[in-house]
Amino acid sequence: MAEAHEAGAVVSFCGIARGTSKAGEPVAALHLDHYPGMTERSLEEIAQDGATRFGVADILVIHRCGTIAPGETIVFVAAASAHRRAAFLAADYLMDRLKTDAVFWKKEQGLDAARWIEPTEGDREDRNRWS
Amino acid sequence: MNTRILFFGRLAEQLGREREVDVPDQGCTLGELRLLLANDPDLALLAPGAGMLASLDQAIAQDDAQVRPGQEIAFFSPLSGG
Repeated sequence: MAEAHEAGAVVSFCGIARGTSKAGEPVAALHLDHYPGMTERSLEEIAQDGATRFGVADILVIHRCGTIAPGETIVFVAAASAHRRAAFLAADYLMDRLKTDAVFWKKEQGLDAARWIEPTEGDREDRNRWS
Repeated sequence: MNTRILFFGRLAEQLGREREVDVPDQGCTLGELRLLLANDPDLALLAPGAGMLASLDQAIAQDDAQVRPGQEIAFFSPLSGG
């Protein structure tokens, strides 16, 4: 990334699994189910859209699937651009899109029970502020 | 059985990852296929309007889409995002 000398800014973001749910209960693990092929294409589409929308030089998105323990990284995004503003905006945009539109099914394993997660109203509002 | 259907998310937990089913030789709409499959009590969740999404050849599809035997068909609970 950013090997071309015109990129003067790289912004990166790591998303890390929290040890507590939104309701404040302990989380033992996250399980992310994915659809091989369709999931990768959804990530590529989101990355391409972010690159086009903000005119950044390069974008990298890495997303894990399977079982993820609290404290482990789930997602990494980075955007490289000539100047910092576009890179900050692109990284922010990529995360809002990933949180709602990436093809994953996420299950939060608590100490006793597990529950499947869907995007919250807040997640949808975060995505819609870009439209 | 002429077609393999795939399950993801909460559906995969309930039904396993895949199942062989019969799609009518002449094809049908996705909605018609949902009704056929939902005759099996195990698969009642696939009925139209029961909240499960579907894809054909890895693209999200609505119930009026045409389905052919052998096509890649998947059913899944709503996406969570990453």
